[in-house]
Amino acid sequence: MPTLDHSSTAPAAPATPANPRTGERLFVVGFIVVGLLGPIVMGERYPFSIAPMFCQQPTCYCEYVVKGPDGDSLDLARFQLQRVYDGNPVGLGVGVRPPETLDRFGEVPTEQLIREHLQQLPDDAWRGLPYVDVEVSVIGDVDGVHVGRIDERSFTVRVTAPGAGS
Amino acid sequence: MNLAERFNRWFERSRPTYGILTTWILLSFAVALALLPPVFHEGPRAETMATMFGWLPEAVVRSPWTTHVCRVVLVASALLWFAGRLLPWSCWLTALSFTMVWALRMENVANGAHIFHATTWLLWIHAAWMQFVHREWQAARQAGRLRETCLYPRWVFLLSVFALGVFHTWAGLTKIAESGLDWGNGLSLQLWVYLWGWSHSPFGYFVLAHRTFAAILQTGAMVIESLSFLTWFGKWPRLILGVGILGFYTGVLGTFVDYGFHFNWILVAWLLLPVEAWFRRRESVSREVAGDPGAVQVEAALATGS
Repeated sequence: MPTLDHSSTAPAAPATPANPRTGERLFVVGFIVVGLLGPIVMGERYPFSIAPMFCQQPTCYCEYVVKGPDGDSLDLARFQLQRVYDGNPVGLGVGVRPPETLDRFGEVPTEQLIREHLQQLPDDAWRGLPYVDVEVSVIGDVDGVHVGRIDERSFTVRVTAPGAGS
Repeated sequence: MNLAERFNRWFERSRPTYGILTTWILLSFAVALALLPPVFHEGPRAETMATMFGWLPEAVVRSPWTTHVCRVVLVASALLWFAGRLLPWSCWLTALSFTMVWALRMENVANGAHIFHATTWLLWIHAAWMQFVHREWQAARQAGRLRETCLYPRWVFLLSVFALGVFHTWAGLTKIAESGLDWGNGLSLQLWVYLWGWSHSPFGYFVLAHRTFAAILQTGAMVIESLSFLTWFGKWPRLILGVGILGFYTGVLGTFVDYGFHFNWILVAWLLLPVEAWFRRRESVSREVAGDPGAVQVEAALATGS
């Protein structure tokens, strides 16, 4: 144990305790064990973390624009096309389930998939809309050096409201 | 020097100035967290536990009142710790309420963040430090010799470095496990920068202009992160990797401006650059002037880089 030096001119107390406390040793060893094993056992569960941000390797992503018959852009969340990805694996280590969406960062849906997705949405999403145009811009490698909109892979698909006929 | 001897040196004590300043940094982060407006996302609960407090009843976890109470407790306990009052209880309460506030945030959002994990572990380490020295601390304070009394065990610093190293190593290993060793192909980094990058960022400009440059930066980040555990093994690995991690965070913050890694940047700079060694050297000089044989120990530790 270090002794306190109360004199005004003497140097500080000896730097090494003769018998380091057992409690300190236990804490140090316990902390190291927990620090090493915690993320393995618990995974992404705060305060433990496997620090998964940006761990994936996407090669492209999609920008969606949904327009009604009048040409105005509509809210993507209304059609479950909003992006929920923020760099972290979606839904990992969070207590609220991310909203349903067709968007998968790194994937491009087919026209058929977009039609099926939109037509199974509840009537609320389609209120007042006989059809919508979904513009899908695919962002990815354009020339081996840069990224940008890939025109050849981007497309627009018109989806009619369920029951409105095709 | 064998392992047991090395381990024994972890319990050598030096003057606490560096530890006090580290604590102040952590407490300022604690207050910053308490002041952050809470976020509550709509939506059903996730199937898996997001935090170690996920077992609490949903009504407790989702209630804004729980968060507000924890924030008030966090500010109060942090101020008490700062003032040296109610030690060590104020310290434990700070660590616990900090952990609770961030856990409640993670329980109530649909997007994760990793800006306070390192601070959490460091708060627990420093609370434990106070647990072990609080009586001597109070006595030294009352005698007006707190800064001159050897109260800072070496393990407090080394465990803090360990916590930072492990956290960043996991970031590297997770990338390799998820995407393989070619994770840093440059394309994915370009996509993230294209989507979220600050348009005036010089880092972002070069990343978007050159795939090869992006790949070098990305692979470099993965290597540095994966090797971060080596910061524990002496002053040179600590310095080299510290500079690397700091560069990585500088690039991230300079590109994705609002990502909130400022806290980690400060901790990395404070703990992995030779700031602590500078404090020890300064202490050694002042003790040598005073004719204290303990100065020799400090010099020896600095020479071995432990």
